[in-house]
Amino acid sequence: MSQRVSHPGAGGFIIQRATSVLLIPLSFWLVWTVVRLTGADHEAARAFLSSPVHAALMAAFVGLSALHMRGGMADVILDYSDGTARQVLRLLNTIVAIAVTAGAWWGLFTLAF
Amino acid sequence: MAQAPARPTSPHLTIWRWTASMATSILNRATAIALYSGTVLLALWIVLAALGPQAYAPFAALMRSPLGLLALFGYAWSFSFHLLAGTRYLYFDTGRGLHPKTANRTSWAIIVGSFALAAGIVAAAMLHRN
Repeated sequence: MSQRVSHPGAGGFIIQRATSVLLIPLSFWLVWTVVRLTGADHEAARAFLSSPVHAALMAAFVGLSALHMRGGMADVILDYSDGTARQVLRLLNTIVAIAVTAGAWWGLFTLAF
Repeated sequence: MAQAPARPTSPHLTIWRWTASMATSILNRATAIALYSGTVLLALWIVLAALGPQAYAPFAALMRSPLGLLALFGYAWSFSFHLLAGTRYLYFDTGRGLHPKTANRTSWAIIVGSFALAAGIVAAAMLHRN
């Protein structure tokens, strides 16, 4: 009979560090984006997000962030919850990560084409 | 599954004497949770931009309000802190910088540096806006 494993193991460890390394350079670009676009009107936001380079960088940033934040939140959930609550929270966490990625990628695709 | 006995949960705040590296560890997790909602907002911004000017307008107005400015500063600081602290954890992973004295010193550098970086981001955003 197999033991149910509740810890993410080495896979999670590696994903967390790999996404960290990739997000460091991307974060400099994101800061520049935030500075440029805070409170921007729709036309400015649309023009920025539909440029191929920025759309690709944003798609990468959101996708890597979703992986990174899902892993981090999974650790918080394992630390502070048990039983059914833990299972429900882990499911919600995965749904949020997928929704964030799918929403942003859909938006970028719609703006680009 | 049997109910686990009621044990104290980490990080045992009532037991340990506060140190800068302990505060940095806790703040790294707190800013992570703040950034989790920040990334949800970022995705929402993209979705609203894709839906068109009518859907986008209320969000842009909210971001220009004092509440939006507060959210921007919160995001900028959480981001700055998590970036600096995360980079330090990658350095820790190489087995260096782990001496308590060194770790406390770099913790203070991260705490001070994160506010400086956040102030710079918000100032640049405000200047660029006008």
